[in-house]
Amino acid sequence: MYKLYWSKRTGAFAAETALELCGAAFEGVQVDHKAGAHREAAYLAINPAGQIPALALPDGQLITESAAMVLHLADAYPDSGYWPMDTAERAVAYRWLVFASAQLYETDLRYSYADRYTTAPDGAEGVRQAAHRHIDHLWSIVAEALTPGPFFFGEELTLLDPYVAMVAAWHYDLPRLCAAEPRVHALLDAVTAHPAVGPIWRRYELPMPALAA
Amino acid sequence: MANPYRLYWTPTSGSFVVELMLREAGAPHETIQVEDRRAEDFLAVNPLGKVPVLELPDGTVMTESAAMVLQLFDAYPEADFTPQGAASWTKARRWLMFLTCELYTAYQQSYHSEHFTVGSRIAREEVKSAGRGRVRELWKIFEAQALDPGPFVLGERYSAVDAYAAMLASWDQSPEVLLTIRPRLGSLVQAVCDRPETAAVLEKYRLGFGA
Ligand SMILES: N[C@@H](CCC(=O)N[C@@H](CS)C(=O)NCC(=O)O)C(=O)O
Ligand SMILES: N[C@@H](CCC(=O)N[C@@H](CS)C(=O)NCC(=O)O)C(=O)O
Repeated sequence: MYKLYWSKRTGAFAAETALELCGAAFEGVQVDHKAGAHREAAYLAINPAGQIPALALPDGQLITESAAMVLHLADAYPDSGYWPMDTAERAVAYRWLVFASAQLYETDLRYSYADRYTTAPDGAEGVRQAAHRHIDHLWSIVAEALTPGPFFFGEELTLLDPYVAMVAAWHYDLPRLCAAEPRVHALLDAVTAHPAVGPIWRRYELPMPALAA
Repeated sequence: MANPYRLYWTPTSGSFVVELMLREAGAPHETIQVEDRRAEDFLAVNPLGKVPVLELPDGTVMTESAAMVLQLFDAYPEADFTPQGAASWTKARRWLMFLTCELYTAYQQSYHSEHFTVGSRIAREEVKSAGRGRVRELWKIFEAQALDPGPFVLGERYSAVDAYAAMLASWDQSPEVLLTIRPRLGSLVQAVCDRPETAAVLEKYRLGFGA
């Protein structure tokens, strides 16, 4: 059985949707991120980097990195149908999954933890503003890839879509993002309406785009 | 004949690992040096104005160096650089993602601090120094967890994840110091440099590890 260390409003959402869609048996261990439990000895023994999510595999191997979890599950459950098999489509899926993790998620961290990106006591505001600008540019690039939509591969949901929708939901001004990028809004609508993904979305307390728009 | 891979590159950039893989695989490829990342014609290829960009033989355009590594794993399942066995795959993907999300970003923060703050020159210096601190912290985690026991991320067997790590290490402000305080990373770098194709690609990219 898999064991997912999770907390609301973290990247664990992407791992959990992947586990659920693949039909993998798992148990969730909630780490109280708001209360700082991810910085306490018990959790640091599991993941010394103090980040969430972490995933223990059935063989005991522990992994970090939300995108690596998605790739692992895509590979472990090839028949799930939630990851493309065709070479050209896989290239597209890899590109946007890595983009979501290395660019979108990382830029979100820059405004969520702005003070860590500068040694100046009053530097956080400048970091935050740069991150806001940058993420809006990144979303305009993602929107291009969401044609015709609503998902990256048209009507077919893959493990990529909930990942990207999750980072969109963390946007510093979601109503504005939805207004500026209708295709991102359409992705959010489709992901939250998905019968398997919607309930997880709500449990992770991610905002609903319909209310935002 | 199928089209060659086309790799857009600049010296010192993340294209290094992709070119090394293409050479090691014996994949037909051509490389296109980008003179100006902000030029209209390059922005039409990648609106973010970043390298690497890889065009596959079927015309699909990719950005994100780690995604290219994953794609080349798929394309060359038998290559030396491709992990073998489920546990190795899982480990390789984890550390590849760690390197690209965390360390690549921390190096970008050190070298392109202007993208990380709207502040003045002084504010950019403060962002740079935070980036350098983060780089050191991340290598510590990497050495303790990914290189235990080493010498490679997958133990005795090389993979492209090692080349990715060596590339990032070569970007360090002072690689000699880094490899001294992180000796297992030093052994990994040495083992990557000992591979027959590495030296020529390092030289092309003007990358190295100091004295
Ligand atoms: N690249 C990592 C990032 C993980 C990450 O930064 N998680 C955040 C929550 S979304 C976290 O744990 N932050 C707590 C902290 O750094 O103190 C991933 O994709 O899993
Ligand atoms: N996550 C991307 C990052 C690419 C990147 O930042 N490339 C650098 C060169 S190593 C670049 O082109 N920077 C120019 C800029 O940011 O303007 C990847 O892994 O390919």
